[in-house]
Amino acid sequence: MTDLPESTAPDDAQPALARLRGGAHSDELALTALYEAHRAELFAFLLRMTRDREDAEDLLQEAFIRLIKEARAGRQPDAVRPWLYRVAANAAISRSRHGAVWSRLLPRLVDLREPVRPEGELLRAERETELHAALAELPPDGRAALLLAAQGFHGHEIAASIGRTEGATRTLLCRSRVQLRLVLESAEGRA
Amino acid sequence: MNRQHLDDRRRHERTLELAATAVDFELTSAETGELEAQLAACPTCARRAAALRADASTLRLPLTLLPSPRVDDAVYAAIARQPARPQRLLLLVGAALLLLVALLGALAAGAYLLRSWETLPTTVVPLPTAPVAVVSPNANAPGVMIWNMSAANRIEVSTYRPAARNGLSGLFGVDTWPDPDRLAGTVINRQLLASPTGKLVAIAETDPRARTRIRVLTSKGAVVWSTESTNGVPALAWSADGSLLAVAFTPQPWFVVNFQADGSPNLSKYSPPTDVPLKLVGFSADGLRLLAYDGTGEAAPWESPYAIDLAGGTVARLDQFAGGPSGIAVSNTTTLSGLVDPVTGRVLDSGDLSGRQTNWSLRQGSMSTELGVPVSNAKASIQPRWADDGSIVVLETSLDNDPPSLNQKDPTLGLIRQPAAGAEPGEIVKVTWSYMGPYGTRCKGVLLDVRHGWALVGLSGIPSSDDAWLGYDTLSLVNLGAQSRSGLMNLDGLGKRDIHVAGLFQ
Repeated sequence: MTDLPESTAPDDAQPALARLRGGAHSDELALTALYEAHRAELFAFLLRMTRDREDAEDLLQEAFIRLIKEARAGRQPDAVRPWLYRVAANAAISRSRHGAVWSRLLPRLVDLREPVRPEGELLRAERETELHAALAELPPDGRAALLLAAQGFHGHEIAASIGRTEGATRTLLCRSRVQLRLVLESAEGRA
Repeated sequence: MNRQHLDDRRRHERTLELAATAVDFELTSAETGELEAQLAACPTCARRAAALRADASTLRLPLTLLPSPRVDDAVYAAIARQPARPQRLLLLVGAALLLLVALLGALAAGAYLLRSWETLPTTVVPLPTAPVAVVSPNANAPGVMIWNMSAANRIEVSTYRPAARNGLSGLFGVDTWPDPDRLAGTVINRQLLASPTGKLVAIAETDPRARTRIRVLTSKGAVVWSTESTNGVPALAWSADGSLLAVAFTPQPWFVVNFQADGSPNLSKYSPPTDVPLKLVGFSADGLRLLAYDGTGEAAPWESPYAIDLAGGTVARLDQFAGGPSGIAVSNTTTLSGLVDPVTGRVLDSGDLSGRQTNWSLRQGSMSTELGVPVSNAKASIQPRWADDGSIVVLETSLDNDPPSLNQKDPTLGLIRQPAAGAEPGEIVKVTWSYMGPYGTRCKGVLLDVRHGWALVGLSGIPSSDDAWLGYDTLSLVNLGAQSRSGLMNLDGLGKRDIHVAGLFQ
């Protein structure tokens, strides 16, 4: 009896990750490591950008699949983290410009249903929620710039990510911070 | 307000700007001196500056959230296998296999439908037994205008006419602005929109700095009109007869270009109110108005419709979108016109999945009719679009999670007829499912257009949320007209990749 060739079709009974690690090539391991190193952080960024979990997941998946495509074509970027953020930021901004179908309820980023929390932590959680609700009122370019700055990117990197000059990015960041503060102050005044 | 108050206000604003800039950049020594002096002199400014720094710190706090397992599965699957582009010879072999699998799938899906939905008040039409490979060209089928990038700065425009002898015809090539940094995703936003007659095509390009160029070309590639602006990405719409093109920047200006019989353009310019930025939906069916809605987001579109009278230039707030001649034209647009019923003016508000049903609301002004639509499983993604006869076409793509599987369920097309007058809301009168055939890998399907009994679906082997980015690998034109059979024409033998659609034409 001859051995049958190993099937290349996905095996429904075996999760992809286990199969991947069982017989992976070095590039597959490297790509897996990149994904696992950056997915949580990038997902958090996209969630704050889009305020929609499903959209954030779609954009996260696209960014990494694009990275895989580029890597397979011999064009893996030297600095993967800023590249991922550039691609993700552009995709999120582009999606905002194309427009969502209709407005949806904005998801809470922090679950306040937990029964017992230290007061300081609860206050911090509420402040985060207010801040991210205020972020949603900024235009997508400004929101992206603020969130990229929060991730530790410098002005020239942010400029490259959002397709502006460094001078224009400096102005955008300044105006966005001021606008965010004014939105928060206005909300505090209404509270 | 006296001079002193004005000066104080300017000083506070200046201080806030400097404090905001200081969060991310180094100030000059003069700016630093100015800021420190003002903070020392003004407790309010000092408090706000501290609040700015606190805002920045709060944004830096990490969110400990992970994406759902479906994302992991998709990425690991992409890492584990090399996406292959089948060669032309393999396409023929693949088509034969598709035919066999689709026939089996059609029978299986038909049995599944009857088993799952027998308790719903639904009349289910058995799946068609007609083959889902290329069918005989139909003289009534619309043509499809498509485009792709033949070079970094070149667009190729082609048409596919099912009734034509050769099917695919190249029309013309035209230059385009190259993408500034495609690798990083900094690209030109390109929109191509064919007129409903196919005689003209509008091309709009917007760069990352919001500079826009719009050209209208004949089917031979001659430019008959062009304009440039710095207003960002416009919405475009053709009138149903193909003689008028609307170009709408938010909030202004809006143009209507009248391409007369000899092709020469006649331009009218409109200035919608800037305090209520309007979003274009499209022309009215009679071509006399532009329909729009309040784009501020403060009211839902069905609660805030507007009409611009093209002759008088007046803007009217409507109670609701209408149907018929005053309603939305069935035509090519880059807007959300497919979600407005051309027959009644109702707006389809798609809602949440609940078990194996997705709940929609058909909204008009303050009225709402609820509609529950069965789906194949609880993880379905369902895209609806109104057809010109008032039925609703849906494209469903679902993830088979039970048991866990890497394969997406194949995209399937359905048709939902309007409940008859007097029928209970939520009753599905008739549903027909057309099984698209296995695509083989995870795919993204988009219901692109529905016109005169035909549905155009774009399928892409690698998911993309932005079809200006990757485009489609396969286009399918599905005949919805017959209840007992549906024709499906796969346009994937075009020899083109990353196809984009400019529109249907007759």
